[in-house]
Amino acid sequence: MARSSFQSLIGKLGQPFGILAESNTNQLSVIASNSDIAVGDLFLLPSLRGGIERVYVFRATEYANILNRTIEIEDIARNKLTMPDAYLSDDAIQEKLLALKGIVLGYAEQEGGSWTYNRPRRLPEHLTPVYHVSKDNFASYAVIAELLESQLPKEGIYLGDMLAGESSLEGVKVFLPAYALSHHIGIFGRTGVGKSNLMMVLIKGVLDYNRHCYVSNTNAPKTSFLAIDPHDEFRRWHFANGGADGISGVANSYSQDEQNALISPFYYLTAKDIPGGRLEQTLTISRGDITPDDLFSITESTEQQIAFASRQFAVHGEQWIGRSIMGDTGNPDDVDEEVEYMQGTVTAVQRRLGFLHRGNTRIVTNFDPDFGDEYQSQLPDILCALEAGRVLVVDTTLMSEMEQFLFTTVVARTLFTLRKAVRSVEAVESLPNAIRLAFGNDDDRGQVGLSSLVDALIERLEKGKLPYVQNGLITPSNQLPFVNIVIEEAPSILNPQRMKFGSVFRDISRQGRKFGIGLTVISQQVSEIDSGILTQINTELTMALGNDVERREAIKNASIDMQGFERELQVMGKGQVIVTASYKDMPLPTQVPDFDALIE
Amino acid sequence: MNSDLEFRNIIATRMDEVAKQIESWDAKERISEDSKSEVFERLQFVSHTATHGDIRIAGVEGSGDFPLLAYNDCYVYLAIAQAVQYQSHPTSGLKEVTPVSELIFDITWLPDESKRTQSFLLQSLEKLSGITARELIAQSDYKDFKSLSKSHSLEVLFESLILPHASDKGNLAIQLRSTAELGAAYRLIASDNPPDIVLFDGTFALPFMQRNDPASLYFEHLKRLCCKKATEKQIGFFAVSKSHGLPAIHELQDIIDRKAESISVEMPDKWFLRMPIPEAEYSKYKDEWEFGLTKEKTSLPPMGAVTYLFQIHRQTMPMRLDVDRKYFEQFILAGTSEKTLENEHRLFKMLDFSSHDQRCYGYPYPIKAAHDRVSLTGNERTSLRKQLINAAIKQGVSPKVFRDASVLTGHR
Repeated sequence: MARSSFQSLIGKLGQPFGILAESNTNQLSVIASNSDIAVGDLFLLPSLRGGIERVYVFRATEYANILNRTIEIEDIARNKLTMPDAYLSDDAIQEKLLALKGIVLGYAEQEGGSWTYNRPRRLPEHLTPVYHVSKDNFASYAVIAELLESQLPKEGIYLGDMLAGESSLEGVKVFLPAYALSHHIGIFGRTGVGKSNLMMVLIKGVLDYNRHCYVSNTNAPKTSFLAIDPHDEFRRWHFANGGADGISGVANSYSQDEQNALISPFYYLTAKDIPGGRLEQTLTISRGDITPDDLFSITESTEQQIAFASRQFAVHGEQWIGRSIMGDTGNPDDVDEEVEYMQGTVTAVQRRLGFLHRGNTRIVTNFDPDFGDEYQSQLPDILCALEAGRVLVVDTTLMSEMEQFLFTTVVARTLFTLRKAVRSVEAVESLPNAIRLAFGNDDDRGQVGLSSLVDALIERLEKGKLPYVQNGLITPSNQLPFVNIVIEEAPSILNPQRMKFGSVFRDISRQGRKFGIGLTVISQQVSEIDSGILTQINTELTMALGNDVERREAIKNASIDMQGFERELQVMGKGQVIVTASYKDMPLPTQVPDFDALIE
Repeated sequence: MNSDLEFRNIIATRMDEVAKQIESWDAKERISEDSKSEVFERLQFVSHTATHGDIRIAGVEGSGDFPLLAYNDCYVYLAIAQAVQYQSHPTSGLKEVTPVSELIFDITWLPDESKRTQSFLLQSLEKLSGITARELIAQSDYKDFKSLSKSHSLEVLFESLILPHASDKGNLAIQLRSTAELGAAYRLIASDNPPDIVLFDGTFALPFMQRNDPASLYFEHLKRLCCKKATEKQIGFFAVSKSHGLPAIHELQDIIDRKAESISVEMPDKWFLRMPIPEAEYSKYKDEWEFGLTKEKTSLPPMGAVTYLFQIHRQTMPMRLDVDRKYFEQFILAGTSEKTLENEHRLFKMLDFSSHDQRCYGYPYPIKAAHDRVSLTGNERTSLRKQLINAAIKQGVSPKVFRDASVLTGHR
């Protein structure tokens, strides 16, 4: 596509808005004519310094009304108060000026016929004219879209339109690249800022992306998204109130073929009973899917308790929970066993397993084949769905917090284990055994592990429901879907205290990217999240935060420098997000569209 | 500066001596008892004027850099001026009238060689004033006043215009700035849609008027032309000076305070007093009283003008207002003293109203606005100087020409 020349771009910007006054590498000051502007507005500064054509992008972070040549404005205000009938003459527009301060976000420079974006290591020239990117000049939107082309890819997962001040730049779309799902995402915002709407837009973005891949028959990996829905909003959204239908509406709008390719077997899982549901099913997982690591990732525990539970799993494998609850703590195969655990430890572990007692859980089925409780779990199908590029919305309204966290942990850990197993072999015939071993199922050594789960997975592998073998070869992990698992109320399980003795999520945060698995951490507080997790987040979607501590933490942990956006975090409105990512060179203020409007 | 102890003592001693002179000059009683009574009677207090009917008031001001640049034997002077017009407005008091008047300016290069200097300077003055020198002299009534002492032909007056040397910075500053300023006023007055009132910061003094020789200053002619044209078009062209130039003003203040108290004036800081109008050949009117503070000042009021002292607010000092005498006689002076007073009150109510802007309460805002538009900051002067030097270098002049000797020799 032909790129606009420097002159033609400047020509589209109209009349200059102001003049650069002072500048240093931290801040610019601009004197501008008295216009209606807002904090966050974008301005462009064309520069020919050194004979090189560059356009700087400047963002206003504060501004003040000034009167040309009037210095002591406090005295003027005082006169207004103390002098009878004092007025302020209405001078011609030229005399009412604005002093803007702000930061240079970066600059665009022509390279090889296109505009490339660079971080702000340079400064514009003295007294450079300044142009406003304004809704009064729609052509300026096209200019900024062209200058920021390298930061604003034209495809991926749609998030919203770029925001400048209070207005979104219509047509200047912000997409997350598909791979961002596997690079960990943080969504931070206080109550009421529009996180649910953001999730809806993201979910739709993932669905649209997958549909695009399907329709265009591309080989690009699809994306999978496990979205936790704590208020059961995503499925029907505002349909009950006459508004847009949610994911249900999107799914039902697909053709049968599309549903088969992109939605089935299900998109919605819930603890509710849904008899005869087709794409919406009641969620079940089995005790036989759960390892001690899963449990201790979500509950506080001592070393002794972890050791005991691990020993139970080593002895009883997939039945360790039932055995532990029933108090079966010996090792029938080892008469010389010397290790004894204090009753207090045993009781503590039993207590922690209490929520899995029959009657205490809606989603975890008992597993005790000896007593007729066979393996009953949707986990294998959930894993198959995630490996096929699916959006799964999980309604957790009827689940306890522990159930919700346990489910998320089990899915994440299981998928991670699977992907590692796939990566660990080169020969197709070695794959089933690798999977067994990965889940602790080693018949040669008499280790049971999660054998029922493994059996179900191997069965699906052989039927082609797990896409790990293609054309007789192991599928490289970069061709498997990018999978993202959402952790709602993240401080509850991702706080430093909880992660003291290790956590599945810490492992995924550190290594998940290699295997195409990412987390989305949703929290009202950045400060409560374990720093080890925060440092691994590559994409931050930061919304308005509740207090200065959280704002500072958000800025500190952002993947790129957010200097100059501190005030923004205080004044951002509903649905406004600052997107920062390690694969972008500048923060992108973005207006997330209303999901209802998106559907229309 | 030499700041040793002995030197500082010498300074302090001399300062004391000068302070005594200051004190004795100021302490000298100037207003006789009779005169005090006259002042008491003639002093007028003005009512506070919060609003005004439809009126357009302009302010003009000149400025510049004198010189903008000095090098070798050459000097470059910059003169600028602007007029700003305001319309009375119900909510904002005064609202600027657009389009804004053009900026009057010139950059005058003067080599220190008299013929060229005179030629270039005259060109500049004509450009700033907007009228050629010969036309100016012909149209202005300055020559009429000058001829009262001795008549001179137009050509003689033209040839006798004082055109200072290029290095005479002080006089050139006065001439160029005043000409620019009055040029802005003249353009306004001569325009098709002039304002009702034009104010400028200065006086109607004509420094060379009293001399018998034909020497005059360009801007003196221009000042009188403005007065003449304004009166013809019924435009109030007034000079407002922040410096009253009178000694022992405290004597006047005592009288003001006394009268204010005696008649229980609500705002004793709004007053005016017309200086006695002397007898003149060109006028029938004169005042029959003497004012002690102006007794020793033969130039007050200036020839062809009427002078008032006035004050609008305690925040500002008493100021001086000069009104063209012909304008005064046509539009202020009336058949009865009551009517005259009424007209004078109207004038000062207008001034009061125009002085309520928060930025300069007590001083007419249009003049302040014009001042703000043209006054140059230090940075602006430096920037303009640099631009001029760069332009010259581009034309082939060696940069060495512009090296600052003061800086090179540690004098700055």
